Amino acid sequence: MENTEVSSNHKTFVYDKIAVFFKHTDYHGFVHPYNFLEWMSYTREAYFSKVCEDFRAILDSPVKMMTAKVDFTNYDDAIFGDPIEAKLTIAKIKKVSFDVIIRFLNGRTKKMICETRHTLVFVDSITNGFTAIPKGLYQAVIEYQEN
Amino acid sequence: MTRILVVDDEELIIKSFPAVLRREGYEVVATQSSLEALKKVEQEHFDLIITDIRMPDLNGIDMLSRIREILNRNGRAQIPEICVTGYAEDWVVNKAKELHVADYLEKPFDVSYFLGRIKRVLNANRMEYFAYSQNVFIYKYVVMLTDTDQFKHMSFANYLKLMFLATDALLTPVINPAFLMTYRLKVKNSRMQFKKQSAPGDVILVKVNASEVNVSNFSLLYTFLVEGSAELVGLGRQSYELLDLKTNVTETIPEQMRNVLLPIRVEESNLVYKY
Repeated sequence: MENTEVSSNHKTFVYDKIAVFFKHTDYHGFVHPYNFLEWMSYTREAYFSKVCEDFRAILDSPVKMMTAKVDFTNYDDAIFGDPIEAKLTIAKIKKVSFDVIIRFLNGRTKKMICETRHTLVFVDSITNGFTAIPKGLYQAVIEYQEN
Repeated sequence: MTRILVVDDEELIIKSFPAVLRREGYEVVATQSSLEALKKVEQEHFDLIITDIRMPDLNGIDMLSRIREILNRNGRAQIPEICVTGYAEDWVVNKAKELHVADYLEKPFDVSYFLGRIKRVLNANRMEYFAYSQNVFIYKYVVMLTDTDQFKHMSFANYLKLMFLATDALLTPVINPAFLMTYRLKVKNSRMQFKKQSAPGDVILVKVNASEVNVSNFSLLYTFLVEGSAELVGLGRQSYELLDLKTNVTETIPEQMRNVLLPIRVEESNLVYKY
């Protein structure tokens, strides 16, 4: 299930199709942090597909979206069977880049497990130079920008 | 079968090392004489040499130099070497470093640690996928089709996975079931910057250095380069803390882990590429 929460300042995209299976756990039975990077991808792609009507057209255009930086911090653990909820917001929207913040919450413990932040930049694959965020995407992400 | 030559003048060592190694399935030839070892290498094939440094007839460092000459002269591949010594005099360490021996161990150490180091050196030799060199740990990875996405490049999540793989390879001598029964190594924070895309077939060298090796936590710095061109692909940084598995309270990093981290510790200001 994907849905959008609205606070007084901005929208938050919620992705709750994540659950912990054995393959996600480490030697001690905790979720290995690597999985959050994969789930980060799932969440942002589900988000773009939902909020940006022409996302598929953007993918087919020469404009490429590249991850320039990733930062994630672990706070708590998750174990097999835990439902995970990912909450996505946007920050630092500039001409050619913006940051995506995803906070993962453990549905069982109600605690935040992990916070990730990554910077996306837009590049014209023909000229190899930076290019402006595509209009449709820009209009979509601005509503999700944290103050 | 993997054949190991053990050279040590101490009777206790020459009996105990082979016994331990044979239990692990290695074929072991042992000798107390370094001159005898030269003859053995000339006549037989070995996959690894484990040698003491201080020996009466010819010291371990000189013996290894002679062995290398023999192998070169006969057009044979070099054999990875592990030096073992009971004392850590600077000249010994420096000589071993100059020779670029595959590994260097100071006695005493426990059996699982010893076997872990051996396994790592043997794997490195077979797959050439990791090695110590000049105070840096190098993990080598060939970008596969399965790593790439529709944009024809390795996806960012896979670079981060490479950091974890490199860390695991680095800590192989320490991370064993006994360690894992007691401790848990937790990633606190992970960061990466991307400088260049890489495509299938690219060989990525992940150079790992340690920084901030504290009582119960440490950070690892990762430099991703393309082998051959030495182009910078990205920079990473991860911070770890060691926890007691039962109490979840931070624990003092054990000596064995420190021994893996300290040889690759750097001042970040001295690195060519800085995060």
